[in-house]
Amino acid sequence: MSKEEKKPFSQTMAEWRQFVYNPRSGEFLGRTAKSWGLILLFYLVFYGFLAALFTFTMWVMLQTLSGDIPKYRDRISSPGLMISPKPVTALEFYFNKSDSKSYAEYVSTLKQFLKSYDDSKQSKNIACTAGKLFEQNEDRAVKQACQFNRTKLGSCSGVEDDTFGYAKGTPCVLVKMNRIIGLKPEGEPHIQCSPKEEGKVQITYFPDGGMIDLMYFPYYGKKLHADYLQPLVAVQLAINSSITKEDVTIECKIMGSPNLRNEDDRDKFLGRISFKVQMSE
Amino acid sequence: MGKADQYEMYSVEMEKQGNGDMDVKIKKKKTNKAAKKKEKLESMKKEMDVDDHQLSVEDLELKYQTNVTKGMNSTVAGEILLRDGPNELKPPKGTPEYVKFARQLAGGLQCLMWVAAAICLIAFGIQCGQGDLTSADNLYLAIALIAVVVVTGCFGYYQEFKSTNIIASFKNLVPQQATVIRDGDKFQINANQLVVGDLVEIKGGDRVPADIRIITAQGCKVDNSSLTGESEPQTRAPECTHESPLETRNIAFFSTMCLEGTATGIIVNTGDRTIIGRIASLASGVENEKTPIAIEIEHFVDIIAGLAIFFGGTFFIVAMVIGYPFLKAMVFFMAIVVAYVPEGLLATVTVCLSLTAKRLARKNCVVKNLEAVETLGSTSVICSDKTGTLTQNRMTVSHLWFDNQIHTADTTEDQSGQSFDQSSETWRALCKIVSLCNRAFFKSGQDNVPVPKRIVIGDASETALLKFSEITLGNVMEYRERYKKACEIPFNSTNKFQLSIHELEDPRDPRYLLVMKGAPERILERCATIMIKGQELPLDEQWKEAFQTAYMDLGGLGERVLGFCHLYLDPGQFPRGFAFDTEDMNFPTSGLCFAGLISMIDPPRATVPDAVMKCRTAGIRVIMVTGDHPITAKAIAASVGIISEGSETVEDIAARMRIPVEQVNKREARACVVNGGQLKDMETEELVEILKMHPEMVFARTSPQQKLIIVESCQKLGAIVAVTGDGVNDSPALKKADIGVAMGIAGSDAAKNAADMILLDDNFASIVTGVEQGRLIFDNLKKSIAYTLTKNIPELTPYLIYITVSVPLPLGCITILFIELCTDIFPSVSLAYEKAESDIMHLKPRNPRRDRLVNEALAVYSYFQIGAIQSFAGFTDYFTAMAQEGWFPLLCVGLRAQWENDHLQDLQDSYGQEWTFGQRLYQEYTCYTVFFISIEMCQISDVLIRKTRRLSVFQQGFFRNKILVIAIVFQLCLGCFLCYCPGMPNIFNFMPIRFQWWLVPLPYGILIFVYDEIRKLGVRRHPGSWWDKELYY
Repeated sequence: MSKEEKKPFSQTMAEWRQFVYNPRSGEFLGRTAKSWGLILLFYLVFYGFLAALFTFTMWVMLQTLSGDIPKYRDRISSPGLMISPKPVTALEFYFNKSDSKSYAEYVSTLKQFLKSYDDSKQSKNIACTAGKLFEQNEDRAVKQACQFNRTKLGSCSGVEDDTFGYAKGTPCVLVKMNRIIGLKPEGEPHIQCSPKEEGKVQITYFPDGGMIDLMYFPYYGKKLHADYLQPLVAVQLAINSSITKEDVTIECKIMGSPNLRNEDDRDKFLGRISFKVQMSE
Repeated sequence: MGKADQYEMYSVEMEKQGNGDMDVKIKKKKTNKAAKKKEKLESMKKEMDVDDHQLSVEDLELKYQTNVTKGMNSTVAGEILLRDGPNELKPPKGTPEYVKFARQLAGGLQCLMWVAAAICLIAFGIQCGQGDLTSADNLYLAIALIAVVVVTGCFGYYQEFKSTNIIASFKNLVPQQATVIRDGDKFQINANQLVVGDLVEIKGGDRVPADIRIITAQGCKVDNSSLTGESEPQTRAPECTHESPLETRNIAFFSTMCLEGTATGIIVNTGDRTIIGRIASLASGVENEKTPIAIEIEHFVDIIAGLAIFFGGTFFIVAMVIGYPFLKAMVFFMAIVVAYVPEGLLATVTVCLSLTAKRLARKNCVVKNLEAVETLGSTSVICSDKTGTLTQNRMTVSHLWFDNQIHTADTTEDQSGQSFDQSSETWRALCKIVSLCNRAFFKSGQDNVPVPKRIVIGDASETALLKFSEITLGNVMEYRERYKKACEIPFNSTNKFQLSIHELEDPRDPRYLLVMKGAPERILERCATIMIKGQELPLDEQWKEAFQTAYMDLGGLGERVLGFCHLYLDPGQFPRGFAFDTEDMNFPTSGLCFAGLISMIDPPRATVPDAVMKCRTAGIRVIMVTGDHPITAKAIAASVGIISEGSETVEDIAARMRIPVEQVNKREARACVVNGGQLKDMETEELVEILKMHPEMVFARTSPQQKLIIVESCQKLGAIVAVTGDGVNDSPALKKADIGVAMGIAGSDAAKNAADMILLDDNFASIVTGVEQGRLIFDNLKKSIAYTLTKNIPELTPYLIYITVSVPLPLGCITILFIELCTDIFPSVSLAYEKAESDIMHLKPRNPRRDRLVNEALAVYSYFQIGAIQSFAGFTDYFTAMAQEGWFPLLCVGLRAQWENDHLQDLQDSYGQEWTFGQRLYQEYTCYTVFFISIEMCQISDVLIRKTRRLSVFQQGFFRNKILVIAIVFQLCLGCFLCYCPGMPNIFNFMPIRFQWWLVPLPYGILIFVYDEIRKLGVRRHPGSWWDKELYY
């Protein structure tokens, strides 16, 4: 039987050593220095050329793009909803209304978030006609932004109550709609929230009815529309004191606009959002 | 369990007979099975030491406690039966079906895939453990890998399922009934009840029930061709004529056919201890050699595994350095290793091989083991049996000597050759003798069958003569009726002639005609005159010398020569109605008139010389290994070109130069004829030396064991050996060979079972087709593998970039599976239809040590050059798709963590737009699809360049391989379907992409094509240059 005989280990090792460096032929890993030099030079040229080609095509491609508006918006036909403050992990609020530390982070996030809505920062912005899309001329290099006064957020504005109701057990959550360039909502979009179980919580909207004014649309992109402020809807939750220590799940949806989708099976944040609140005393 | 115990008992018995030492026997039983098996095999390879043929009848009676007239005592027979077991071949301990199936799942590539699947599952486990349940990709991958292995395993198993168990067919050889004499009475008993020492009777038409020492015989002839390869019927007689049991006349072998006559004999061996039983166990004891393609695939798996671990290891370290946690880095490592496994390759190789197998089947070569398809292509030595493979296996009249001249008869199978001058009177006389002095006759009802194919009742030489006269003369049966037979003496071994006396056709001529044929020297002794050109001349010394010369010439051709003579009896002495007495021979049997000699041979098949020639041009050495006589073997070898014109053996040189054989320089002799006797005394090294020294070899009078040794010696020289054969005696060698080729029509079942390939038309020329197809598939497999491997890199780099630069993942796992197992399979298989680039039949067989299926050049060129270009194409398209949707390349870098954070529902792109996680996911799928399309586009270019390795594609022809064109169209259609079929995004992560993203990779596709054309140009223009060495695969 001409079966392959197992080579002794020492021989295998010797062969390996021979392969790594062969002193007789001066071969290192099966090639001489000259051979290595040539092959490395070849690959240097080869990859150099490929990299150059890649860079060139990338450059050409980038030249065709506008810096203002993206070429396509195939994946973002409809905006998502998001809330602020946003708990780090999941969308779950846990706080003790008598322990200010437990909600300090939410409060500071809200303050930080609303800073850009300060009146002082909105001096450049103009007051637009409510209820109408604010379309601006093509040739305007810098688009104007409409004012959004914090006062519109009522008791959630943080002006009167700097704990945004957390201390009183009526926490505020801001709902915002994702920015999408050129999006023009139809109808009368408004945010509507509802707890999963009826009667556990009372919801107050600011502005009234959770309306999102059309004058804040369309958005022209961060380069042209640097001062743009997206409209906010504040939701104040008055949690029934009898159900403290229980989870309350709230779902908010954008309603009243036929071109803003809110019922996608896979994307749970497309035109809707749900979060949990648990308050203790 | 009972069976196993019995088996042990028998083997003990056998050893006891062999050396008679109980202690040794018990010790042997304890040694491990493998060693024992090997030892058994070694002892079998030595000649069998049967000496029963040399014993006297008395000694035999004593040895076997029997009586040559009354037979055995029934009770003793019963005891022996209990001791020895029934007289039948034990079926081998067959491999259980599940083991066969498991073997299909344990090849080189399969093991690689199992390991990969295991890694996937581990990675999936780790991910689950970390609570990351978002992606079940690793699970899908594991399932897909296992599915591929199992499905291809089932395919392979099904192929093997068709071939049957090796010794199962030996069973059919066992005779059903036998006539035995016990206690002085005749019985018909089942042959499996026979025991050693039994006295049995055989007659024409019986199969010999066991190995028999002949005690009495009357004109008994047996057909040993399946055992020894001798095409002539062998006489069996009580005398011991040779010391070798295989050659002596007084032993008839188990399962051979008794053609005529009767005989009685004593059984000397039964069951597995018979010669044929030993050959059977020899065949089953020989392990199948690994096929060359299996070795190549293992080598290839080594390369793949090495590279995978190298890449995985490198990026594991990179990931650790970048700061990924250990577990995450581990998952990366595993993913890279798995990404490196070419999932589609197993399917591609299997399908390519079975395609060729099908193609071969259409050309009458049936392949039992898929891997054997390629083996013929790498074959460098063919050891061919003579009888039935190179020759037609039927005696045919080849030469005639009359009028002091040798005439050549037509020996072609279809009688397309030239005939000789038939105008001479002598010919007419000779023809008359041939027709009349012949006891053979055609089976009735064959008038429409061409003469050579008709069935004849009679022995081989009479058949040859009958067919010969039927062809040259016309209706012999009718002719014989016109010359009424008055009496006849059939051939017997003491007279060595056959005669008959006939009335003449013309009723007015009252003479009788005596015709006689027989051994030429015996016939000549009885002749007083010789017929030359119709004239009866006195047979003087001059004519006798002419006769001798002719006789020697014809004998030297390895042909069997018969002499013919006749005499018109004196009508006065023998009037009509004379009572001829064959006992007293009351008629003259001397003073006859010599008519001529006719010689017969088993002629070579018409296609063989050409096929042998083709093998030679293809660098394949053809060695004849036969059980037949050296002279015949040499003559056939010379006529088919195995010994080429002008080649001389040592003996030829000695004869030509008139010097003793010892003085001849052996290196001068190209040819060499070795016979079994010489071989027996030879050491293996000596045989190897002889094989090296003489390019043209003929082995004659070889036993099955010796065939095995010859094959092994060739393999020791590093050759890949094909063995062709048809007899039982060939089966061990067929099994030992790298590829055994059995004859489909003439082949015994044992040979067919031991073989890897069967030639349905028994045509040696089909082997040439096999070689051609084998070489082609090797070349084409190389191309297919190169094509399949290339895309591994563009599948792997996205992951590497994902890890190192943290871009959103450009190519997903399921998408990779679609490339590997769906879109690219058909194109890679279509390369199997590619025509050869050059005349592959003019090249030397590949050197199995140097010309590997997958060499470093192929891997490096595919991976680091074409694969690299494809990767760049993919990334160009990926970044284009990202940028056009709002994510600039620089933003993508480092984006991974945020991108994959499913709590982040408002991630800003380069334009300030905010994306939810779901939207980003669809964007990621878009990237997968874009990358997928890029790979596909580049692979179209890749399949075009892989059409040739050296020639320009323009020389090879773009559209000549229609299947490949269809495959490309199919690939495109499949790509479109995957992209644009509704529902795809959520099922298989394919998104409908914009048309222009199909075009982005095009420049890279063109680059691949142009670059490869430049490479080929360099390879063609500057053979042996640095460019050729580094870039030709």
